[in-house]
Amino acid sequence: MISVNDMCVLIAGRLPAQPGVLIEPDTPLLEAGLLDSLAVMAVVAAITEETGVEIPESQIVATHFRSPRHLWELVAVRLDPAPR
Amino acid sequence: MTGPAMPAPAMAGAAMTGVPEVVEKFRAAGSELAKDGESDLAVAWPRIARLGIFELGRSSEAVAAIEGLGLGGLPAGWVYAVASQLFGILTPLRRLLGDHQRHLLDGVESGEVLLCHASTEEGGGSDPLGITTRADRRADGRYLLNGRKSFITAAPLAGQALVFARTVPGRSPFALSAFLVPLAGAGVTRSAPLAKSALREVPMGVLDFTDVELSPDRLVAAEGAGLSVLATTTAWERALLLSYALGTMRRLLDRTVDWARTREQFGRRLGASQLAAARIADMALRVHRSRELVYGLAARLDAGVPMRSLTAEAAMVKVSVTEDHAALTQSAAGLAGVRAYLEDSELFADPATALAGLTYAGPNDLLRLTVARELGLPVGN
Repeated sequence: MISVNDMCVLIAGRLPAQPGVLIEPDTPLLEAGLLDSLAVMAVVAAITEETGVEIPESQIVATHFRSPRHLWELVAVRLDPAPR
Repeated sequence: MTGPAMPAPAMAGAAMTGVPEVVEKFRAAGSELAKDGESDLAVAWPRIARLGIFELGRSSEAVAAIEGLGLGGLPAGWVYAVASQLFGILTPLRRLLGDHQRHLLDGVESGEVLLCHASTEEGGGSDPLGITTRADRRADGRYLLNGRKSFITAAPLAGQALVFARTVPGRSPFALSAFLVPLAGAGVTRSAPLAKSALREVPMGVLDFTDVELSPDRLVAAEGAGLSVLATTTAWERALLLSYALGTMRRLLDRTVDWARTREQFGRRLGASQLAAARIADMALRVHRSRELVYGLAARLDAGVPMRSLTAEAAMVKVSVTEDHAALTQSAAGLAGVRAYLEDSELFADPATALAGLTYAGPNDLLRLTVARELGLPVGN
């Protein structure tokens, strides 16, 4: 299981052009312009490698990348599809 | 020393990487097709499709079939077009389309409909967020497509295009969407084929879209997912497209070996020159590592490794094989002399087609940046 803080670490590690930037669960990734196209794909690939969850292309849209929390929710549902 | 040359030993088929029986089946079929003298890809396309090339289940088999077609002497441009549609468009689309969209691919496997990949515009192909073609969603849910796609392989022949267009302005990574667009409809104009020097057997053209209406089921994946769709199609293309060069490279190597074993000059055979022999050994090395790389990637995909985990590797394979193809062609041309430039010669080597590989499917120097980025370097495009 991945925590929302793990997700922040995962994302921060995929922003090599922004060293030292603080990524918190509600950091507005898109509004702040932190995610470029290469970073989006790198984050998606890292999620698959670290959690085994393959996010389909149809889910790689702005709604799920607004903040680390939005992305974490998408992954958490796929890891544990039972209602919580 | 001057006696008749022994026939060149065939490379040991069973011991080679790949799927030798599939290579051989498609080599024989490709050789038959090449002999019938047809020069129009539009006529040849359904014949190639009828060989079953678009229906093979595993990537390793598909790579072997495409290697076989090249080995059989089918024009490089045709083999390129087959590999480009199969790996860069059809394979990813089979995974991307929903059940209600499957019918959009009717006729593709049988060769009645050819697909083209329409991302590049005159302003460039490597910066997708620079795309200016727009798809505006109307109140009724239908989209209106406007813009121009340039330098599109197979556009003059294609029945449908996978078009990347912006659905919102700006450089957000979610500004793009992908659509499967029928090219026979109102508002689509095609240019005449562009006169070009590489891969001449497959035409390239421009597509203009003026107020083309698209129903919502033409949207691939989801609105805003265009960049990830493009990442998927380009990763598949980079990983396996260069299967098209494997047959050509082997054929050129085999013919250069035959030439060096028999060509007499300065009182000895060409292959007795240490310089020539070493160059030919280098050609064999380039064929060997290119095959290992492409088949290796295909095997990993067949084993279920997600393509997304292989993007840097796909970029490295594309860079390596295209650079080996170009270098091998240069060596072959140097050893063949003037015959390298005669299209009807057994030793014809096509440097323009080999060099084009450094550019298509992602320029090699930009792909190096993909690899560097994966290594954690703070480099942008």
